[in-house]
Amino acid sequence: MTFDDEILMAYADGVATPGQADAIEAAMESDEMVRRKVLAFVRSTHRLRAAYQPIAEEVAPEHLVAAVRAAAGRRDLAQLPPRHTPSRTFWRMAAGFVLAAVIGAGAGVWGSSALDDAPQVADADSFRGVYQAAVDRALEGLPNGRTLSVMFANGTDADLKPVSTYLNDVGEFCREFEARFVQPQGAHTVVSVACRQNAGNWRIDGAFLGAEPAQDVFRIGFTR
Amino acid sequence: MAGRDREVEAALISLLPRLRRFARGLSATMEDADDLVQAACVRAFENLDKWERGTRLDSWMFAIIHRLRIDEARRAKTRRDKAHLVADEERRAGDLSRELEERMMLRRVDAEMAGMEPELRSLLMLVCVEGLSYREAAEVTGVPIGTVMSRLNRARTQLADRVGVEREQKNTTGNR
Repeated sequence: MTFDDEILMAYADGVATPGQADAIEAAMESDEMVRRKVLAFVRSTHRLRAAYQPIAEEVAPEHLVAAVRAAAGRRDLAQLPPRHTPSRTFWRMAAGFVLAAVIGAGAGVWGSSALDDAPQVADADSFRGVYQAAVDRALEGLPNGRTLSVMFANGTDADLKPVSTYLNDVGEFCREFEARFVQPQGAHTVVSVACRQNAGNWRIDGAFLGAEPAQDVFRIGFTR
Repeated sequence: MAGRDREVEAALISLLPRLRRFARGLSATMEDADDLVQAACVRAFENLDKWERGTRLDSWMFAIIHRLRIDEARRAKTRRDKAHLVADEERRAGDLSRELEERMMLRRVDAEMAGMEPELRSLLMLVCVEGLSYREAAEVTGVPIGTVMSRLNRARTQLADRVGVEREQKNTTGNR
């Protein structure tokens, strides 16, 4: 008795009818060719499963999880009324001003316990790098609503909290985050935007306090 | 965010490992697979209104990934040969450092799958790896069940042929 390959395949996949299965099993006893064909089908399944199984056991990379959240969030944003967005040049200027103001106020910075594996530095010139590293870690690793704390040598604390994730017009993942600076003169919460570049580097594009650019507030908050 | 969006977001995140595995079966590298999964997730949210609640989200996602991969293959037809040369080169370069048996297995299967039409690769992944029935695989790939069976048969024969070629080459090398 001869069998169509597709029937043998269906048998190997466990979806042949009981009648077909009986006939094939009988043939396998005596017909070497039938037996080899069925085994080849079974083996192909086993090989494929074994080869690809480890991938399904891996934890999905964070950027992919962020992408799903971003895709979900973009629908969210689409339902909100559009809001005025300052130009990129403005964002850059504002971000630069914030950094300059904080550097001016701090003699040195170091990582707090939340940044325990960040390098410990006591050099004002390194502020930008440490602030950037903190922003990178917060945006790369934290879900929306969670906080990462950084402490500066002059007594200023900063809590970084991502609040939303989305894709911008050119397809970059961007996150809006709150940076709450607490210092003796008072506390200021600044809303910033940063977009992911590569391998966990985030380009900080702006700083905002409420609906106003953050620069005036920073001038008051950080200049003695 | 609407409750439904949240629900899908959470469901998709928990599905990611399986989506990556499926996409990996259609791709030459893990990076390509992740790009594919990412594009599929974006597409899913854009078309969320088309997903019928209560139907299988995994099958719907497989269908999106499958479709993206087929479209990409059509667009890249002229580039394809070159891309494979690069992928082969990368595979060879990685040989020395990767000693885990499971990776070697994946690499061997990769070599067997390379150059196979994406339609066939999808079916191998859906039926053999994901365990979908022929009918479910037919729905995902949008072809009749008879076509699924003949393609699946062809894909596995190709796989077996390639393994045969590999063994012959090994034997030849061994006899030298």
